[in-house]
Amino acid sequence: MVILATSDNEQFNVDKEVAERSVLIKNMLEGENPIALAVAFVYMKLNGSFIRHEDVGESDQSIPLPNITSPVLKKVLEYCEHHRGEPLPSGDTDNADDVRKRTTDISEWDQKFITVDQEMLFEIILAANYLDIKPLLDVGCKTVANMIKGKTPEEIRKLFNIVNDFTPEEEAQIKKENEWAEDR
Amino acid sequence: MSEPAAVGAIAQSCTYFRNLIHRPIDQHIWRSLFLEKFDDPRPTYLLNGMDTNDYPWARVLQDRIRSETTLARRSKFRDLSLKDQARVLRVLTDTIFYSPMTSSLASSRDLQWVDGLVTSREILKGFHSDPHPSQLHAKLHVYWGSTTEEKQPSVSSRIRLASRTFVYDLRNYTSANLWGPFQDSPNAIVSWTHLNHLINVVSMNLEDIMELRDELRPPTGLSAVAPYTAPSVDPSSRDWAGIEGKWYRYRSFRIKHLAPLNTSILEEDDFQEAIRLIELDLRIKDIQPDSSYPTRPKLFFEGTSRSTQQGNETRVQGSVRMTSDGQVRWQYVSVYDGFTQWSSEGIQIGGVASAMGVIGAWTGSRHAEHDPVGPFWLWKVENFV
Repeated sequence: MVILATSDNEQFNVDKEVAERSVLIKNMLEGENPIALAVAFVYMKLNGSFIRHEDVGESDQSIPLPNITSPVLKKVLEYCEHHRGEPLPSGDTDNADDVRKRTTDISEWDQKFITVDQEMLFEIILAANYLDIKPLLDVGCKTVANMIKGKTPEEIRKLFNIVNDFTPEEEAQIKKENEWAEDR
Repeated sequence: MSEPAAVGAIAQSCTYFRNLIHRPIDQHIWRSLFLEKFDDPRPTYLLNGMDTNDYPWARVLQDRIRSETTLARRSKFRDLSLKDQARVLRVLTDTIFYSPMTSSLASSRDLQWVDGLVTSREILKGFHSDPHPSQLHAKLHVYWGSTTEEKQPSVSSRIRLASRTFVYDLRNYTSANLWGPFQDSPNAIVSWTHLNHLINVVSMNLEDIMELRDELRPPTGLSAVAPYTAPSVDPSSRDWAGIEGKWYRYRSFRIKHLAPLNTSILEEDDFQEAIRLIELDLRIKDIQPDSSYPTRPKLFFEGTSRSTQQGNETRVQGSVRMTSDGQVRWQYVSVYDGFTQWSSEGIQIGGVASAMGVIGAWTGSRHAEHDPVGPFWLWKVENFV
């Protein structure tokens, strides 16, 4: 069992196999990547969030996740639980086949899982990025991409509360810059 | 709207996204978008002697998407402005030229993309009835081959007449066009309209021969114009053009040639045209650097040529080099009894060492006034055929 501690001081007891869907946690537990471990350690020290239970053995210490709140971690763990045992993706490549695989449709379960409000969606993406859970990060990004598809720049601004900060001169230039993509 | 188009939309939403997309610190985003839709161009780019780190992912992808969106604005290709037509045709022919080495249309997303657009947007419809097609339109037609429309008997007989008239007219072979399928220019710029006529004549002559075995028909279609699809070719060897080995060559000629030519003669029943199959065996004799193409030196070859019917053997010698417009140019002469007899000028159709081979024209090597002229089609075959 692994104990994960969230920023709002909740603790989650998780099967090692489930927690290790996160490459960050996997590396910390196995110490496979000393650099990642050192970075994580220093980061947690700086954040003052490294909780050490002096009276218990090393394996019982909790892993603090200072960037993640309990509702988000609960959601992330639900994903990890469902996908436990599946092979982890290999390293980052530009291989055309890999690119295609990463951009194919979202599975039905994932689709249902990721149907959340926008705030939660972005929290999940940030958590997946921090915890290094690539397939979950992909699901999140694909969902955002699907939200953007087919929308005009104005509709995109409205959707994500983006402020239009272009001057009129820039607007004209930008239109030219993106002419290649205009259907009409 | 395609995904690259969505990227165009988000780049227009605010400065942050604009900089992220159009002033990226690396090519990651454009490379990913490109590979999502098209074949990886790097292997072919490398074979063309170019540095893959310089591959212009954003520009090529934007050009291709622009072609799609331009075509989507009008239902038919012919409704586009001439400028837009030229832009689309350039992108389509370049996509074919740089498509990956492939054995079939089904395995290449680049070729499928071209195939889909040419068919759905009727890009070659009515090409045969255009009296003055553009060079780019002719180039696409040369790569594509005959359309279904052109195979109808009434249409094909008109095409045949027009192409025979052009191909056998000696006025179309002068020193200005280097006695071959070139435009009148000192720089050997390929004339695709001329090549189109040459192909039409040979392929229609072959269609007349119903019982011809498949291996005696030169390969055609989009997957035959992809680079390095010819047999017995090693792209990494010094023989970058795939010269060495066995070749087949069809040569057509008029049995009765009269000058000056008028079309009524060609329409007469007694117009007789013959076609011969010749077998060649070629090997490289010399290699010389080409300052304009450091990775594509000039290759000089020699070999033998033997008619499959008469069996008498002649010597051939020639060269392969790049033209100023990036095509592979074949030149060779046949030597009989110590004298050069015929000279041939041809262009490799499609990418380097394409399966479709080389199409061109042959004439008397002294280019005398009443010398005969005719089309030829040279393609590489397996050494054991």
